[in-house]
Amino acid sequence: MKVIFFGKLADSISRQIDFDLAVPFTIGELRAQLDRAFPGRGLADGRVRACVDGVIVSDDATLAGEQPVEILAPVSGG
Amino acid sequence: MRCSVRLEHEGLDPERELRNFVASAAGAGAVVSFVGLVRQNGADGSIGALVLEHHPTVTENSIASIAEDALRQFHIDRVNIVHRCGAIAPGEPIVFAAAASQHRRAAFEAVDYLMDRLKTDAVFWKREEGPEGRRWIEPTSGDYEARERWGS
Repeated sequence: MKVIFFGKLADSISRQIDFDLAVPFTIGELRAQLDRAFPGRGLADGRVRACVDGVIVSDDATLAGEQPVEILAPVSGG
Repeated sequence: MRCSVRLEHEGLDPERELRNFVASAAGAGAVVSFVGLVRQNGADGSIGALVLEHHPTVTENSIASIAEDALRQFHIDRVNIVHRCGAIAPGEPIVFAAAASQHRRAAFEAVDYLMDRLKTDAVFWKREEGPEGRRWIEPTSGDYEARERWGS
């Protein structure tokens, strides 16, 4: 599954990675696994949000791994 | 259309935006506009550029949501927000926000509100780039306090 990072997470991890996770999974599970794979990057920060198909999704959303998941760092504002 | 929002990738011309907004606000009694500029000095001294990274859909939606909230909360007729993204040099405009209303007070308050919301809730990732490298910026405590003035 493709995971795309925005903001400072793209700097500290990568713009895009392929990440293996058994399907189906919830966004919360994905975030926890990412935090384990990339500790200390701030992925557990409650302000980090996930986005699928252009829509912000909550931690309990379940995915089959077909769509890329975008992980948005805490926003800076304009 | 009472609510107009646009992301500008190249350049932002506040005079043209104001002219167009005034023309679109026929029947209103007041237009208030605000132009934000990139400061010459960042947190750690002079900056080469401010870079606003954006999301292809979520960023514009977040700005539209702020504009719609303003239309609901204030007695205003129209709102227009034009926000830059990408690399912006010091001194260049970064945002144009305007409101039109029957009476001036509502337009003043709405634009104040728009800017407080944009500074904390607009989906951008902002960094300064200069001789010392790049530095990511998050809203300040003052930005959050300003936003809290308006409630939820």
